Amino acid sequence: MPGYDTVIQGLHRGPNAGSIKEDPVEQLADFVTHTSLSDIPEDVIDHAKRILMDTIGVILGGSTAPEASSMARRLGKPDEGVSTIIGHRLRSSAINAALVNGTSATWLDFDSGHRPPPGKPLLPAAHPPVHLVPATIAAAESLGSSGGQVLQAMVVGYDAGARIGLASRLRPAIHCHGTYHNISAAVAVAKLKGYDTQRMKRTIGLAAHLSMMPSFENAYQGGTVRNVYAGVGAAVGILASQLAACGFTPEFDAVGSVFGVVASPWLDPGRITEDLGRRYEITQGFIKAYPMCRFGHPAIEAAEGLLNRFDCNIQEIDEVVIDTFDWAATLNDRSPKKDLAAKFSIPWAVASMLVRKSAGAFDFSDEGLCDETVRSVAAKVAVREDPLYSSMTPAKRPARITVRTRSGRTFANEVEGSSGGPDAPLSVATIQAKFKSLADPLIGPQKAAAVIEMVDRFEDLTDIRTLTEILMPQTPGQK
Amino acid sequence: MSKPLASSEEHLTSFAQLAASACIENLPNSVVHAGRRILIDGISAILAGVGEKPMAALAKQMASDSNLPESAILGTQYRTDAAWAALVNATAGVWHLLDPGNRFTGGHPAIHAIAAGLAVAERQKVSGKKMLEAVIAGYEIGARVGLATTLRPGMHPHGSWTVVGAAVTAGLLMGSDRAGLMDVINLSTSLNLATSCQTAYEGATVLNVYAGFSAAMGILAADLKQSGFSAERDGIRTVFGSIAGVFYDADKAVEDIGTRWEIERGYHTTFACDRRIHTALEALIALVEEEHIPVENVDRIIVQTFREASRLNDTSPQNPSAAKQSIPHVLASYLVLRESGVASCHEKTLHDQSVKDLAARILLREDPELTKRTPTQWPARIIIKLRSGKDRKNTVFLPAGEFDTKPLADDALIEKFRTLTLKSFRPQTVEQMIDLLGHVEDVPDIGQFIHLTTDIQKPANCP
Repeated sequence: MPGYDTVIQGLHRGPNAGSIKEDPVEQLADFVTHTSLSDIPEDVIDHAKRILMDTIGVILGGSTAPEASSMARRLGKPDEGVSTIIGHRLRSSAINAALVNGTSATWLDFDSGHRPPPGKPLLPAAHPPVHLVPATIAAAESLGSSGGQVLQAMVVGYDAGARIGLASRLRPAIHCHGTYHNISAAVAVAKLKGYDTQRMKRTIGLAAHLSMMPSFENAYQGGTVRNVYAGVGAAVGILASQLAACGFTPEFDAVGSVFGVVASPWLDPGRITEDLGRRYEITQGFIKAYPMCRFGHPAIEAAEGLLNRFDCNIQEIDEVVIDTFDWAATLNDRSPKKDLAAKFSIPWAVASMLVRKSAGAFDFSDEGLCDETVRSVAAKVAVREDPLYSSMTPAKRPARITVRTRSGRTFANEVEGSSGGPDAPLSVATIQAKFKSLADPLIGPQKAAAVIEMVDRFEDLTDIRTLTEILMPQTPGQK
Repeated sequence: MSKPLASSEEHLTSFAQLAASACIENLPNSVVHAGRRILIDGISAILAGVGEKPMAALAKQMASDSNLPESAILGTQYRTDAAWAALVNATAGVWHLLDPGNRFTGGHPAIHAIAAGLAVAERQKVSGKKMLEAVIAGYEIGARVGLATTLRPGMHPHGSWTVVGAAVTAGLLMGSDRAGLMDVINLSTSLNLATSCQTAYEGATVLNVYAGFSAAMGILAADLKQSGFSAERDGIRTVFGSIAGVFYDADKAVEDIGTRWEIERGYHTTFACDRRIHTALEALIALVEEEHIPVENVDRIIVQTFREASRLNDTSPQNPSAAKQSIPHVLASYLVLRESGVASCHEKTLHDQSVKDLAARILLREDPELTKRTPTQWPARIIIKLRSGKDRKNTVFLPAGEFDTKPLADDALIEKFRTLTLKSFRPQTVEQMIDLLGHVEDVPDIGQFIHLTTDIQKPANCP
C-alpha cells in the first residue's frame, strides 16, 4: 500500500523521537532489513538448517496428537489453501497453518530453545523456533519463497525476538511461549515480504503489542492450551506483518511499553543491539535430546550415567533424591496425571530412565504414563534445590542423583549440565536420528530422508513448496 | 463477620451457571432489552468503523487468505473464518469509540461478545434468540471478570479480561453446557494480551486490534474445547489475579450475580471520543446551548477534571485516533465546528487552523477533589475565560448515556444507527436492519440479518 509508510513515519517520529542511532529497535529493524544470506556466516546458516529440520520433526511428531489433529481438521481443507498443515493432508490460510503447526510443534516438548549466553541470568528457556518456523514456512508457501530466503528470514527473525527476550525479564508467572518470539515470527515473515526499515520497525512494534501474557500454571497442571501459546504466537507473526501493510500503527516505543513495563518490568535497551551482526542468537540455541522441560535434562543425564553402575532391582529402591538448581527444583510433581504435566516432572523423567532406561517421546505420552512400575518409582523421587548449584547457573546447570536401596546401598552421580546446547551440541547424526524417529512413522523413511537431504542443501531450493509437499502423511486418507 | 472468600470452584461455577441458564424466557425483560440495545449499538459502531482505510485493507487481506468463508465481515462483501471475521469486526467496532461501554469495568465488554457472537452464530447457523442470549451471557461474565480485576498499571482493558466474555458467548453458541463453559473460560484466560494504555494516548491504531484479537481468541478458546484441549483449574485467578491483573476480587465478581445485571449498568454514547472526555464536552455543549459564544471571544479554556482525564492534554494530536484522546482537540472541534461525532476527529479537523489555535489555548488541570469522586463519577469543570474578562463556568459529574444519568433513549440509538450506516447502505436496507434488530429474538436464522449487513451500497473509504 504505497503512501502509508511515509505518512505513518511522519506521524510517529514526533519531536521527541530519537534518531536511528539512539533507537535500538530501529537499529534492529535496519539490521534485519539489510542483512542478506551472503552476509550471514556459514556456521550460522548451518545452525538455521539444523533448527529447521528439528522443528519440522517435532511438528510432525506433535501433529498426531488428537487435539492438534482435531484443530487441523477444523481449519484445513484437502485441496484449498495456500499453506500446508504439516503432518496432515490438509491446507489452510497462512495464518491458520501457522496456528496449527505452531501448536503441533510444542506438543511433545521436544522442540529446540534458546538460552542466555553465559553471564546472563538463567530464565526458563525461550523457544523461538516453534513460533518462527511455522510462521516462516506458512508465509513462504504463500509467497513461493526460495530456501535461501527462508534461511535468511529465520536467522534475522530468531535474532530479533531473542534479543528483545534477552533484554527483558518476563514476570515470573508468565509462560514465555506467545510473548517476544511472536516478534521472531513477525520479523521473519516481514523479511520474506521484503519490508523496508520503517515498515519492519512497525511490524516489530505491532508484534510486541500482540504479545500474550499466558500462564505458566497450565504447563504445571498439564493444560494442553499451553501448546496453543506458540501456535498463536506464530499466527501473530503473520497477523502483525499484515497489519503493518494495512497501515496499522504501534506506539512509538512499543517494545519499551510491553517488555519494559507490562509483560516484563524492565528492559535494557542496550542489550537489544549488543554485538548485533557479530553474535547471531540462533547459534546460542539448544536442540533437545529429551522431550521434556530443558531444566530437567541434567537430572535425566545424571540418572542415565548411573545406569551402568546400578545393579540392583527396581523394587529395591527406597528413595531417590535429585539435588539440582533452583528452576529445575520446581519440576517436582511425583505423580503427573497428564502427558504435558509429565514433561514438567523430574520424578517421572528420572523414574522412566531408571526403570525403562529411556526418556523418549513414548515415555512422556499418556500411554507411557500408565506404567505402574515407573509410577511407583516416581513416587519415591524427591527433588531439592542445592543453593550451590543455583549459584553456578547459567554457566552450569548441575544435577546430582542419589539412589538409596532398602538394603542400605547408595548410588550417586553428578553432572554439570546436559547435552544439546552450544557448549555440548548434539551431533548432526543424532539430530538426524531424532528427526527420523519423529518423521518416519508419519511420512515414511524415504520422504524423511529426502527432507534431510533437502534441508542440507536448502540454499539450492528454488521454492519452499517442494519441501512442504512431502510433509504430508504417507498414505492418502490415513488422517 | 466477614464473608468467606469465594473459592475457585464457586466463582467459576456461578459464572457457568448463569451463562448456561441465560434463556430469554428466564431473563428479566429489562435485561433482554438491554441486550437488544447493545446489539444495535455495537453493530452500528462496527459498520461505522469498517470503512476506515486500514480496516478496509485488513478485511480484504483476511478474506483473500482464507479458505473457510464461514462468517461475514460486516459492512463488506468479504467472508473469512469465524475467528478472523470477529477480529476484523471487533477492531472496527471500537475504532470510533462509539461502541457501548461499562464504567464499572473501565472497558467495553459488549463489542467483544457481539463480534464473537455474530461470527459464531453465522457459522453455526443459529437463531437470533440464541445469539442474543449468548451475547447477554458473554457480556455479563466478561464484565464481572472486568470489574473484579485490577489490571497492572499501564494496561488497557481491550484485549485483556474481555477474552472471557467472548469465549462464553462463543462457547454457548457451540453448545457448551455448564461444565463445558467452565473449561472454555479456563481455556480463554491465557489468550489475553499484554496491552498498553499508551497506545491510546499516541493514537496507535493497534489499540483497536486488541479488541479484535480478544474476540478472535474467545472463539479459539471455544473451538479448543471442541477439539479436546484442556486448561488449568482456575485460569481467571491465575491470569487476572497475578499476571495481567495485580488483584482479582472473586467475591466482587459474583456479588449479586443473577439479580444485578451488568448489562443494565452500561452506557451508550454519540460522542466519538474517549469516555473520560465526555463530561468536559457536555459541560461545554451546555454552555454553548445556553449562550452563543463566538470562538473569537474566547481567550482560553481551563478544564479541571479527575486525574485520568487530566492526562488527555495533547494540544496538537498527530492523527485521528490521538485526537479522540485529546480534550483540547475535542472541545476545540466542538466550539469551532459544532462536531462531536465521527467528524470531530476526522483527519481534516486536525489541520483546521481555527481548531488548532483554540486547542492550544485549552489548559487541563487535575482537581484532586474531582479525582476523589472517581470511579463513581467522572467529573469535569470547564471555565471559559472570555476576552471581555468574564468567565463562563459549568461542571458535569457523570456523562450522559449512563443507565443512572440520562440513558440514551431507544429512538436515539436508532437514530445513531441511521447516522452511522446511511453512508454505506441504502435507506431501505438500514430500516430492514433496524427492524430485525428490534426483535432479533424472533429471527429464525441470524444469517438473514447478517446478509443485510453485507448488502452495501458503496464501501466507505475503500482503498
